[in-house]
Amino acid sequence: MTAQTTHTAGAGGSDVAEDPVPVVRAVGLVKRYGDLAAVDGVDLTVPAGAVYGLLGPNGAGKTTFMRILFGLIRPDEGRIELFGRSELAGRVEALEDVAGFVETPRFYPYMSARANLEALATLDRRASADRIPELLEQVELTDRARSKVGEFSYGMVQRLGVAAALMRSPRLLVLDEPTNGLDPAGIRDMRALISRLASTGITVLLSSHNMLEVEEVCGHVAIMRRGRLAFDGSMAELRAMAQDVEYRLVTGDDARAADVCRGAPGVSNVRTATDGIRLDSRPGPVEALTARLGAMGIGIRQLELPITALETLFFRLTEGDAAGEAAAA
Amino acid sequence: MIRSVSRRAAVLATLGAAVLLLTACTPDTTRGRVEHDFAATFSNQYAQSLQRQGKPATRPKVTSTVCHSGTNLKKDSGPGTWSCEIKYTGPDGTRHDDNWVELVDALGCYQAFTQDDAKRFHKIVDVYSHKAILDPAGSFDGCFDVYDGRKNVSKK
Amino acid sequence: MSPFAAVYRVETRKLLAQTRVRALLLFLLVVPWIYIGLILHQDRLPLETLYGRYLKDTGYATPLAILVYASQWVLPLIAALLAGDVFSSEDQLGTLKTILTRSVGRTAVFWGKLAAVFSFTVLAIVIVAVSATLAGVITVGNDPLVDVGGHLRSASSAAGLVAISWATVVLPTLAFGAIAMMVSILTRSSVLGVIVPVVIGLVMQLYTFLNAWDTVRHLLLGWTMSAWRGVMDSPSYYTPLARGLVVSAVYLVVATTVAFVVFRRRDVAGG
Repeated sequence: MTAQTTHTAGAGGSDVAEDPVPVVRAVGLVKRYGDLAAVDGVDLTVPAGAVYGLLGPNGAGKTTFMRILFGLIRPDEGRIELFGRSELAGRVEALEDVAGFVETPRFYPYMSARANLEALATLDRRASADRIPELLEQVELTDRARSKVGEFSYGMVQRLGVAAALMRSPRLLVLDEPTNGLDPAGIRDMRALISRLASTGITVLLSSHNMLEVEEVCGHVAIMRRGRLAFDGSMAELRAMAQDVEYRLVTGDDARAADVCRGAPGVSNVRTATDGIRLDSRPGPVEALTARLGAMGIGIRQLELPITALETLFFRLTEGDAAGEAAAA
Repeated sequence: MIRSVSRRAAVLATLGAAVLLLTACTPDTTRGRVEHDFAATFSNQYAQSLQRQGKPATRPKVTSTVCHSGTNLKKDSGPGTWSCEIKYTGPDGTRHDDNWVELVDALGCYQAFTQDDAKRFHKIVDVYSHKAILDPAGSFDGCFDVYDGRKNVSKK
Repeated sequence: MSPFAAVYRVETRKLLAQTRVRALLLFLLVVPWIYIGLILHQDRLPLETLYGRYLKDTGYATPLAILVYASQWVLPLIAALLAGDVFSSEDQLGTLKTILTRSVGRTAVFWGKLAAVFSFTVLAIVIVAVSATLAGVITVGNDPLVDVGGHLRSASSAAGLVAISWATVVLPTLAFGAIAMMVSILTRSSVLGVIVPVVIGLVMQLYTFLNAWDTVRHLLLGWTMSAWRGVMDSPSYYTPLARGLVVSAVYLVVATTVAFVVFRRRDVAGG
């Protein structure tokens, strides 16, 4: 793999290289389809060595952004630079250090995995077919090398897509929802692979609609909503913004417990439901609340966190009002 | 404004060229072409027939070839069935007056055969291949050049 | 290796890997033998087909009679089958984004694919021409051929005329291929990419046999497909062929230009 200069990447790739040239720089990017702005004035910078998450619900514009990055779509306004090179001018050269896939990786179903990779190696300036056995082993497809891709499962195709991307020895790896459709073991393996690649100095830009996944592997995150950025910054900054989170509480006497909750400091938005009491709070006030319930003889059967603080923030940023966007700006 | 004027000019020029192309044309199949090619090809086929029978390849002397379209009686042109009368003198001095049919296609080619079935289906033995073949002097294929500038001969 | 050469190499491998391409080439190899085999086992000859009457006289009539059928509908079909989905299949498989994110730009992808498809089209024509000639010469005989001027041509001369005749249909066939490619790019549909050129060929063929304006007929690809007949005359005439090749070149250039411009500018939003 090509190493970054003076790079030391930690968990989640939170440290960045001292190379001042950003790997990706989008300026005023706009793409419209009729009246719909799929990407609406996006300014985004991905520093070298980062593991950068592009987060957003379906239809937020993540995939359109990635297609623009790969030169598959022309933007209506703005520009995108890769390693300081303008993406549109001399496009092939600008993409030499970039690899990855948009949506599901696609191959020729009537050809074997190996034949597909050989074809792609022929089309790549720097890739060598000699590395194919090593790459297939890396993605655990060695025993299926001669099988037709048309017989592969979804997860196998995803892994083959990673192998095809790594064949280019990229400095920037772009993965569009790489764990989509994978089983839990596949998801775990994919996340481990991403972390491992990031530790070698490769900049990773991955998109997801899963906040937990992004939180686990990314050091930087941009959240898109309806074509615009609702947040762009480090994961630490995002965590600091996370406020109250929703808890679910089940007690021996939910009616009395709900009254206690409503009067407890640091607890808000208390409502009763068929599956217990729902309330918004933080760990400190919740600890005090549980102690008070115990002192009043109300037994606690269940206390759980259906969604994390970050997930709550994510939903607010991507589904909330303009105040959420202003706070992120 | 300049763009719309240029566009209209281009459309008009295209239409004008189309009109010219469609109107300035002599039909491909004219009486002149049919008569000329039939006579020439018949002569060659006759000589070839003699050659393949091991005799001297002598062309007949064609004195008259008159063809008429059976499909387009008014203009005497166009593909379809043509009837031809050919008068010729054979190598032995015998005069012949044969009636032929030509099935002319739209590509300037035709199948020609004599209306005398005995001659049409007569077979000869080719001295080269030793095969029994249809006598070329009784039926053959031919083609003519539709760009040869030959005018329609409208003699009735 | 240049990007164009890389794409050409990959595309030829892909074409060879496809069952329908191999089946097509095999079909073209075998059909002439079946055709002449059937002819030899029956009494009647296809007299309405140019050179049909000579099928039992000389082996060189076989490739010419087959050329008559081929020029009417087989060659446009071959061109459509090979070129009609070379781009739209990438849309349907979603692989266009895969190849456009490698080290080859759109220009190289376009010309590499075009060159590969055209190479296979020429290969298909060569296969059927050679197979038909061998089938005729081996089963009927290496005998002299009568040209449409009424002269007897030696076997070697006949072989040369057959080769030239088949060579004249290459350019109009490639023009059909360019039309198929253009439709495939414009519609992103393999079905239309195959059907539309075949229908265009059939319509042109139908017009050819209508008693309508001859000038229009001269501007159709079907006319050029039949211009080899002038080569078979004595004396030979070449004006229909020369004009027809110009017409074919115009179809080829226009269709290729439209295809190229659209492909270069399109967004790859699917796959």
